[in-house]
Amino acid sequence: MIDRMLTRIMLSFVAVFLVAFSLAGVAMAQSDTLSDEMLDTIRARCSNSQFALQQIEKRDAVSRINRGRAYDQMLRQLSAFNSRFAYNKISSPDLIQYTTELQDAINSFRSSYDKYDTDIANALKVNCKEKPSEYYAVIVKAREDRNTVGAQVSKIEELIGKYREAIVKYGEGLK
Amino acid sequence: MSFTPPLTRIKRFARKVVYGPKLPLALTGAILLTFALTIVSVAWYTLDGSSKLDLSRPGYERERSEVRTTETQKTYDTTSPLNQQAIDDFLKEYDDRSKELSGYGSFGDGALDDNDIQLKSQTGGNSSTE
Repeated sequence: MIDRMLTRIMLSFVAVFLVAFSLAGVAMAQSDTLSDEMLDTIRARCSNSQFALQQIEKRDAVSRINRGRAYDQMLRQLSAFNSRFAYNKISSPDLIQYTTELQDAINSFRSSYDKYDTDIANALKVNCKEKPSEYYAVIVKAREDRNTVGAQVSKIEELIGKYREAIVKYGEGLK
Repeated sequence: MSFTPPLTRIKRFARKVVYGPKLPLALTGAILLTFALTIVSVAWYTLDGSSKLDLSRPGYERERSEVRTTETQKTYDTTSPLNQQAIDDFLKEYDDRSKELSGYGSFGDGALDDNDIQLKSQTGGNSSTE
């Protein structure tokens, strides 16, 4: 019993160390690739950069809110139309499939935006005058996470297009 | 002055609380409950991400005006027959919403480039990992 507990505690310590070392590694890798000139630029423009970041965060929050609301409205419309197909006893598995995929993509959009917003909040917390490389590492992560949000938006647009095409086909069948 | 064992003292206090005036007990209970509910609601507000999207905070006045106003929830007909007219009506609303979506930021504009976040070196010598 005690042996098992000790093993667990040791494993936990090893895991914590591994995570800490990998994070430090990422930060060091970033600082290795940043030139002295870039580090000086970050130090010199620290306040301006963080102000610009704040403006981007605010602008993105508006996009996130507007998109979220529009997606919700769209999903309600799709669900109702799928129900109408079912009520009229018309089989429409493709429509249901697209709606499910759309719901999943919207959920992923929301969670990836949360991640991205956390990165921006972290970047705003870093003292970039003292830790320019750490600041830049967080910015790089924020860029990656923002790209993920952008990819989700593209996926949602693609699914919206696919659903439309499918509806048009059903319409042609009704003629 | 006689010594009273702690357990007896606790019992006496509990009896005093139970059989004594109820107002202090009720007030204490109400205050504790308020604290607990406040902690839960603030934690909920922070952890579920609502705080990140709350534009009612100070400093977000301009952004508030850019947020699309919430429409009254439309009720959709789910039981009428499906005909060409129904498809056309659906597509009209669907296309309007798609058009509206294209007017919002798509997060694919490279807004975090060095230039946009004021990190572009004056001489252009940026050897970042990008």
